[in-house]
Amino acid sequence: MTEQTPTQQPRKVLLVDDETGFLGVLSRRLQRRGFDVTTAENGAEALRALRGTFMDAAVVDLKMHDMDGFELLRVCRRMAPEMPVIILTGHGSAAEAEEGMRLGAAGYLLKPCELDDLVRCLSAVITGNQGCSPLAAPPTCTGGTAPTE
Amino acid sequence: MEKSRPEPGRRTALNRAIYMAILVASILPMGIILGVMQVHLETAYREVLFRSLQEIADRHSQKVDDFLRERLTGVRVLADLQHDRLLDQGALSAQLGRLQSILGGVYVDMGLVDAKGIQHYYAGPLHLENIDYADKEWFRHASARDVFISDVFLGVRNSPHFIVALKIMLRGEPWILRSTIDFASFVRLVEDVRVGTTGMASIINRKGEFQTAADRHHPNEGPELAALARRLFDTTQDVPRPERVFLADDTVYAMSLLKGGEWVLVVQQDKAEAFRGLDDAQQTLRILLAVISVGVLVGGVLLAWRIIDRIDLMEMEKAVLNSQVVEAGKLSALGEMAAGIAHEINNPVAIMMEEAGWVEDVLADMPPDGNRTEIARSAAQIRTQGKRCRDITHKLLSFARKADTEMTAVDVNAVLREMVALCGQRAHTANVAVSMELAEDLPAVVASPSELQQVFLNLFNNAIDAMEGHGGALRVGTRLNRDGEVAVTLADTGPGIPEPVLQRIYDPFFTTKPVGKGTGLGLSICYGIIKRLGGSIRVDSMVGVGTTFEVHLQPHEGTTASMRHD
Repeated sequence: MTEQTPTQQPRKVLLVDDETGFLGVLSRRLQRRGFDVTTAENGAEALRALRGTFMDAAVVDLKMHDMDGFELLRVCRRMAPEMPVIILTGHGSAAEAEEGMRLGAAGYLLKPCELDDLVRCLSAVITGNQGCSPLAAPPTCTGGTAPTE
Repeated sequence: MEKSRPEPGRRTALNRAIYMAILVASILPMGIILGVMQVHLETAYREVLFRSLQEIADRHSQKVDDFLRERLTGVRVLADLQHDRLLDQGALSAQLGRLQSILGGVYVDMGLVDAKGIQHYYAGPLHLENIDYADKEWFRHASARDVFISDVFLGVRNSPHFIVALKIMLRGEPWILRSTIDFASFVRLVEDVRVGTTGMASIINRKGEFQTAADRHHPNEGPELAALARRLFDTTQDVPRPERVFLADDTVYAMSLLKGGEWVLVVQQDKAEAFRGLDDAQQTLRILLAVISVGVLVGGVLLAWRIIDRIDLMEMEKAVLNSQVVEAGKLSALGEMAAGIAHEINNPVAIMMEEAGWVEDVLADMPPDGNRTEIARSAAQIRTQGKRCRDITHKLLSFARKADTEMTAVDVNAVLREMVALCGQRAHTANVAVSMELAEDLPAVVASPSELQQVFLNLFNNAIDAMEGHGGALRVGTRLNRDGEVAVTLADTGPGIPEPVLQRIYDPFFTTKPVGKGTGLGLSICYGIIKRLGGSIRVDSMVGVGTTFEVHLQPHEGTTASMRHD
C-alpha cells in the first residue's frame, strides 16, 4: 500500500548525499511513500537541480566529502529561502544541530534514522513549515521495532 | 616499570658544576679574608718587633755613648784644671785618687806619655812607669788625634777595659794623658740585655772584633756581623736611610752605631723565637681556616646533595609528566581514530538499514505467505542489528568527541550513566552485573566533562578487568555526603587489592596487569585529575572480598544538576 492522498501532488524532495547506495534505497522508499525524489551526489548537482525545479523540501547530509553540508545549507537558504532543509547529522552532537538550526535548517535528524521519522519530519516541514519534532530535545533516533504494515 | 633516565653525561657535568660553585663560593671569600688578615697581622707584628728591638739597641748604645763621653769629659776637665801640675807623679796619683773617690773604681789608672811614647808619669795599681808605648797601636792612633778611645781589651783581673787618651800641651810639649777605664759594669749592662731566651746584645768594632761578650760568640760571628753592619758604615750620600733592623740567617738583628761610628751595638734574637707570637697567631688562623673549611665543605656538600636530589626528583617528575602527556596524546589519537571509524561505519550501516526497510516495503505489497513472513522477519532482524551497530558507534562517538577541557557544571549522574552504557557490553561479556543507585537532585560539580568521563571509565575498566575471570557485581552509587560533597562510590566484588600494592596504586607506571595490557598510568592520571578539581579519591579493599573506590567532588555552588554535559 502506498501512502498518498489522491488530491495531493507528490511532494518534491531533493536528497543530497555522496553515498550513492544510500541515495538509491532512500529515494526508492520515499517514492513508495508518495514523494517525488530527486537525488544529487554532490553540491554542484544539488544546485543544478534546485535551479531547474522547485522543491518542496531538501534533505542534506552534513558529512560529505567534497562539499561541506553547512555550506550547501547556506546556499540553499539563499537560493530557495522558502524551501525547508532537513539536515542529517552523523554523531548526535548538539553543537552541529544548533549550528544547522542557526543557519536556517528546518529540522535535523540523526543518521542512520528511521524512515518513519524522516517522513514525519518532511510532512511537518512541508505542510506547516513547523520544525521537526526531534528539535525539541537532543537528537536521538527513536529506535525500536520495525514498522509493520 | 620503565623510567626514562636523564642523559648521564649532561647530568654529571651539571652535578659537578653545582658542587664546584657551592664550594668555591663558600670557601673562596673566607680564604681571601683570612689570607688578608694573615698578611696584615704579619706586617704589623714584624713592625712592632723590629721597633722594639731597635729601641733596645738604641737605648743601650745611647747609655754606652754617654758613659764614654763622661769618662772622656772627666779626663778633659782634669787636664784643663790641673795642667802643668800633672807633670808630677805625686800630683797625678792624688788626682786619680780624687777621681776614684768620687766615681769609684771606674778610672783604673792614669798616665802621661810623651811624644815619643814613653810614659814618664803613672798613677795606678800596676807598675807601668817608663813603659815604651811607641809601637803600640793605641799610641799611634792617640798621637794622630786629639782624642782617642780605644777598643776594649781584657786588662787587670781579666776585666774589660778601654783607654781614653787626650792630647794636651804641657809646658809647651805635646803630652798624651791617658787613663784606663773599667768597662766591666757597662759590659755587664750590655751583656745582661735579655730578649726572650735567645736574644742578646753585643758590641763590635768595624773589623768585627767583639768589645763585649766575646766568649759567647763563635769566633766567625764577629766578622759576619761586621759584614752585615757594613751597610750602616757606608754613609754615602745616595744610600737611603739604611735598615738598621733586618733578618739574616734565621736571626733578627737590630744595630745601632756608637762611639762616633766606630762601634756597633748589635741586638739579636732567633727568628723562631722572635716571631713565635706571630707564628702562634698564624697557626690559630690556619686552624680556624681548616675547621671552618671543613664545616663549609660538609655544609656545601650537603647543600649540593640536596639540590641535586631535588633536581633528580624534578627530572623524574618531568619524565612522568612527559609519559602522561604522551599517553594522553595516544589515547586522544586513538579516540579520534575510533571516531573516524565510527563515522565511516555509519554510512554502510545506514544504507543496510534502508535496504532492509526497502525489503519490508516491497514485501508489504506482496500477498502474505510463509515465505513472505520469513523474509520479513529476516529483514527486521537486519534492521535490529543495524540499530545495534548504530548504538555502538554512537556510544563510541559520544565518548571520543574532541576533549572539552573547559570547566562547566557537570551532572555526575549523567556522566556515570553514559560510561556505564559504554562499558555495558564488556561488563556483560565478563559476567559483571552493574547496578546503579544514583541520588536524585545531586548538585552539579564544576569539572571538565571529558576528564570526568576519563576518570569513571578508568575505574569501571579496572573493576571489570579485576572481575574478568569469575564475574561479579559492580555497584555504582552517588550521594551528597555530610560535608556537602558529591560522593561517588564504585564497589566491586573482585579479588581485592593487597596492602603493599594498595599503597602504590596511584604511582605512575605502576600496574599489576601483564605487559602490554596496561600502562600503569590510568590511576595516576585519575588521581591527578581529581586533585586538580579540588576533590579527593579514596580506596578501601579487602583481599577476597572486593574493592571500593570513593571519589569526592566539590559541588558547584548554588546549583542542582543543570544538565549541560557534552
